[in-house]
Amino acid sequence: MNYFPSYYSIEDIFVTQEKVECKVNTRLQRMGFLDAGSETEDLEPGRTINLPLWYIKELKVNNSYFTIAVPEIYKNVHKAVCEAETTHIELGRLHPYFYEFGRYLTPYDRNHVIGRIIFETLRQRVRHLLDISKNDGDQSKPEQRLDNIESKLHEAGVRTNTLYVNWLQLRGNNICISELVQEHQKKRKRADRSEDEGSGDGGSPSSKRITL
Amino acid sequence: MDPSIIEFIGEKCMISIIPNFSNEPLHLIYGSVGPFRAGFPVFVPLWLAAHLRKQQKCRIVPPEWMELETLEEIKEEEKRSKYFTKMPSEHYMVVAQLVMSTSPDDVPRCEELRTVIKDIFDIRESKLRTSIDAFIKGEGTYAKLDNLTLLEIHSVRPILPYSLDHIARYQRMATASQRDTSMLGLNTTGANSGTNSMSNSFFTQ
Amino acid sequence: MSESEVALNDQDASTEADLAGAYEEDDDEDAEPITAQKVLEILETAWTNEMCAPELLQHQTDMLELMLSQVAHMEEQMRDLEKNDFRYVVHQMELERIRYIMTSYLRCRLQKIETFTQHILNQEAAREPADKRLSPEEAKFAQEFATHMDEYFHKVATQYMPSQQRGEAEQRIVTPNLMSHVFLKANVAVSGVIVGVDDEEVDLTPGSQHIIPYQLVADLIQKNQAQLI
Repeated sequence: MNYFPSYYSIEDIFVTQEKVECKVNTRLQRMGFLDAGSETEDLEPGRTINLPLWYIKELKVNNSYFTIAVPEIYKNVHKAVCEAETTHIELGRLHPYFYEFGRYLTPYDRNHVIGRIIFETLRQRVRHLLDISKNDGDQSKPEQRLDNIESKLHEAGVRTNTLYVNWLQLRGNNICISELVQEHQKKRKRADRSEDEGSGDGGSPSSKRITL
Repeated sequence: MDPSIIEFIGEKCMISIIPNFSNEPLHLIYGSVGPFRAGFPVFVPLWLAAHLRKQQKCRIVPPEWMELETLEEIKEEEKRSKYFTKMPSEHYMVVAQLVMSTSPDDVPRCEELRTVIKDIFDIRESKLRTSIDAFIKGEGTYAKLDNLTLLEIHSVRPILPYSLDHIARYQRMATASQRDTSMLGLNTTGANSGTNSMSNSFFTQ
Repeated sequence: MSESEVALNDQDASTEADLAGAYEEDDDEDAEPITAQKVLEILETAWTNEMCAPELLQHQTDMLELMLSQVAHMEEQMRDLEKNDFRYVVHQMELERIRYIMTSYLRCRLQKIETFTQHILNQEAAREPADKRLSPEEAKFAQEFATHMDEYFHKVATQYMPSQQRGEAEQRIVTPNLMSHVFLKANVAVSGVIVGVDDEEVDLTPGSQHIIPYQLVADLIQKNQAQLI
């Protein structure tokens, strides 16, 4: 099934663990502990602190406490998106959850840039994803090139391709033993052999069994 | 729906066999087949044909379209046409695969046929990728895919629908939180997507 | 040998009558006799629809029961045949195919029930008896599954949490993405199908194929005007 965030999805938990940079707008009494660099008991306006997304996402967009700063990564790809040159970007390196993190932040971006950026970026990169999952092999380190959503799409594409190629070939050269079974057989053989060596009952009947 | 299920569905196609035995008609749930008379052609479902052939109880009569000239024409037509042409069978790959693997001897010039059919599939598949590209760049939520066969659809499933799901989710999010996109200058579908497709196709080919 | 031959040749007529009888409760007087072939077609469509749809579709208990009795009937007829008899082998192969469709179909539904348990139960509670999507057996399974999950969660986690956290039941409901894109084939001509967020409309011609968000065509599938592929 396609990724669709829910209470139980581990990815969603990872995304919401991410820290978001915010500017403090009003004095928050006895909240100084949120700011590692602060020496006052209260959190003073104008300070910048990092808060986890799971907290931020429960706040109203126009809350009076914090202003959310648009992460640099989204500003940085802005130009590439405008020029439709996003296929070469190493998205996974920018942020492992580039799209989902951006989706959560979209409503908090007063300039309405993030929402459009993640939408446009994926739109531009789908063709590339289709291509690399069809011709996999030479792609090095997809975890750097692709974000989490893209990796899942890529995996799905590679799987499809494998299924198709197997289907085409199965007919020609009969059903082949699955890797799992092969491994199991190897293990069993190894176990048999060590058993035989250990049992020491003359060796000849058991060695016959191996050659069979 | 992976290839084995598509094959299973395709195996319902009727195909002509020449049995070397005689038997009364069989009343299958799917419909009656037979009577079987040795030496006379009779239509049966593909799964039955494959079984009987393996038992050496029949010879398979390849469907009319499974012939080099016809397929070459189809291939040329497919190259010429902007759209997907209608295939002689909506399971042409499955039929070809099953017939040629169970009874290569019943099909004249089997290897050549195999190559042409594979070519046709590949042409259609790359056409599909190109049209997907245009479709996604066009910001559509819906596209027409007439004459595409199940196995061809399989080549982009689930990656295409999944990608579209995500794109749609992000689009909904973006439009829900704002209407004015002029900030980015990205709300132009015409001029911008034109340059998009150029640079992209250059990159990927 | 000859006896069973007669029996097998005879069965078309007899099962048609059986099936018509069983189907009557739905359509009262003018019940058209439904053939086993038609039942199979309905099940095949239900199977592919179920595999491709993001949400759980209408159950097909009637059709499944008809087909099961048909399969049993067929097996009864085959009892006297030799195991390597040509007819036995062919009928057996067909029954295996039909069984596969039915089990794959039911398994696919179970998967959805296990994924969206609470969501499905909530929807079912709001539905009229005639519109229920779960068969009675599935409803029982779903209810038990939900109870067991709740008990398990309570036992291993929520009982140790502050009571505030326990009230998150609503949030924990997993729902399908109804805007998932699906591949659709129109069975009949359908005009004025809304295909986009901007109320863009399209007429579907019979046999035409489309990729489209499920929710926009869910009613066409329900009405069998189109099917998922």
